[in-house]
Amino acid sequence: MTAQVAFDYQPKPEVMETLRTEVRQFLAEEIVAGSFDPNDPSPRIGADREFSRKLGARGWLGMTWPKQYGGGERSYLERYVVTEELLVARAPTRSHFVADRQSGPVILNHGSEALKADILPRIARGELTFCIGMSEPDSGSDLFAAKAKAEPAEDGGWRLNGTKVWISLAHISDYMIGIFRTTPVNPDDRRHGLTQFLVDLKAPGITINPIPFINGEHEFNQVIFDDVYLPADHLLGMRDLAWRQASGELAFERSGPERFLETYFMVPSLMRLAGPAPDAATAEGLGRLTANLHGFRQMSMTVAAMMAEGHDVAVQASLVKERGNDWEQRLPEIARQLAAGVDADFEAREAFSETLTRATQIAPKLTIQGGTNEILRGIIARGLGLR
Amino acid sequence: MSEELDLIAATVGRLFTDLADPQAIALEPDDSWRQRLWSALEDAGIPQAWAPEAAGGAGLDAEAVGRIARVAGGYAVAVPLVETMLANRWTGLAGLDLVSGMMAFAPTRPGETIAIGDDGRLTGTITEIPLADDSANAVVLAEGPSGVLAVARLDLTDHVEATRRDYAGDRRVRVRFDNTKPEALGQMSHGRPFDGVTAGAALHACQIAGAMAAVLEHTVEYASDRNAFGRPIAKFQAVQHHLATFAGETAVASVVADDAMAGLSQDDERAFFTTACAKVRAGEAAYEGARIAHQVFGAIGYTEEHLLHRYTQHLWAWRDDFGNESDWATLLGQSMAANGDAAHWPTLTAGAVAAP
Repeated sequence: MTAQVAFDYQPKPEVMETLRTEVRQFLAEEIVAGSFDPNDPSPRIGADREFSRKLGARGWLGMTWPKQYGGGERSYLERYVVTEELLVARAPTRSHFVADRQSGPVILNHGSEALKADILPRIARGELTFCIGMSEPDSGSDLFAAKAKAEPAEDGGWRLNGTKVWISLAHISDYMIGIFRTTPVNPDDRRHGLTQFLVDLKAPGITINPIPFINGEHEFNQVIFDDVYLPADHLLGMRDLAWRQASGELAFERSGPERFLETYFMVPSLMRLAGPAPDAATAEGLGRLTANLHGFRQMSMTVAAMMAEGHDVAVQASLVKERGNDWEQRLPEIARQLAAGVDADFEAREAFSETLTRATQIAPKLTIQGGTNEILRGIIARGLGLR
Repeated sequence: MSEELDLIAATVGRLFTDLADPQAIALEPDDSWRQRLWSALEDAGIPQAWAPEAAGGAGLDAEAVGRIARVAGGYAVAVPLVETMLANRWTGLAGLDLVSGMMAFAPTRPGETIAIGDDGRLTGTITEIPLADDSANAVVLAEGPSGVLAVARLDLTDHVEATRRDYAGDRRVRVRFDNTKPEALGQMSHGRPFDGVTAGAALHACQIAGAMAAVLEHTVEYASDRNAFGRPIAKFQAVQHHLATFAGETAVASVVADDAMAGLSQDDERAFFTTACAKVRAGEAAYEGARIAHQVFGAIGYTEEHLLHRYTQHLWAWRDDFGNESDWATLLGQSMAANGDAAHWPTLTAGAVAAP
């Protein structure tokens, strides 16, 4: 029973800390050079192609992929280090983030040789931005309600029609990896009938409309497909079997440090407010926040180590996201309550309020992306043998 | 190494299964099972597992000892195995002869100190020594006048000031030493009493992790067997979500406990950071796990005859031994704050910070 939810802890290899030093050095130089401001609390997507290219040049994109496709053949734990250092520094990663984490591995596993040779080295160089096309007006976590469809074209290619919605970063992306219905819904086998495609967003027939967030930020988009043509080899993997392919891919999406670090900046923000010698209650609160962060980091790194050994970690990855998201979502509120007891001057409190506003505003979306936590609890329950 | 660990875990697990199965001992007329279990553990050398080989111990490393504590935690029975392993370790490190029997170990909270004078006599109060009924013999770490670490062994019987029962009904005593002469006294040129508290906290995190895995398994099994409204309660989404959260909390407790045992084998700063995090987070997880288990079991889990409370009451109690979440979180928070906000992340990734 417990095997599916077991975490096989392993000591961390030294190479991680060597790499960490290199990444920090690079980030410090970039901050000095004005590439980004780690303390800027204003709403922003944080996408910068020039910055992504610099990471590519360092070998920090496509790190785990084969060298023949521009990868670095390095470990998941090394990739983990780069990912968390960039996140915590609040570096602009969104130009490459989805491509590096998710789209690249999908193409690597399911793309034709020609696609792999064409696309992967460009992702590894930081030249391509990807988005994920799953949600639709009537289909979010329930993927099988998807209606946007792909129909065979005369020459063996495909034609797309329909609408995707709440698509992060579509407006700055080069490509989408989307799920489209290729066979009508079969109530007896709901997992059948969806297919993954690589879509060039510059193709004729695609319209992208912004859907602003509650904080004014533009990340979401509506993407409309009107008879969009795709060449035959842009079908990724097996026709009608996208569900099976996607569940493996989601282990990458669900177990990373981005699942508990999105509101991390509240911790140093609280510390700036409380100063070097806080009262016992504030110190205790800070200690509990630190212990939680440590726990989620250990979980996430353990999953990375287990993936490297070829374990199926679908359930463990869901556990990281479910616990981590739950906590990072509550973090701004915990910091807010701790801050209430701190004696601080106007300026310090205003600076804290600014970061708190941002963190509180982004918190609601954190448990939605990558499968809502309710969906994840269902996956974990299945791992426990309950369903 | 991991095969050796598996073998040790299997050996200890078999002794507990044969001699201290929670369901079986609940039906026994008295607690003579405790002595039978203890004799078997001693025959297998488990209480001496962490003492150096030179002193007659098994000389196992912290990782292996953590595994033993985890297995023992999975049975949640009232024997002071962890305390005795700690006592024997420091007895051996100080070059004293190991003695057999259940032992107590102190101090049991961060910040609690016993002083030792030039004449080798102890002074001070230990507010709470757990499982002291069969553990009249105690090993006390005390700070000597010139910074040396004194390791004293003595009989607690005449020094007990107060007694209370914890959640699980186990005895806890407050002891006071007033110019008390120990039966045996050794010295170590390096080390602090705090090292003992740290090791005790890390091992209790391991016990919590072991008990949580066991309770999770029992709770999942019960939810699958118990029918209500015409189907197993495991089929209700609300129950599934409870158990999913429980599984996540069990996972967190497991990794922080393992990491703390790895930290103990390294330097003081790493031992402090990883143990503080482990005791805080495993303690939080213990509360949450016990809460969910009782909710899923419903009324039957609250009855004396049911085995659930044997686990949950120990989970509650272990949160307090060798420093509770609040004790460790406050220390950790003070250390982190003193280094400033810019140092928080680098400290977290280094997994090391000096205790305040």
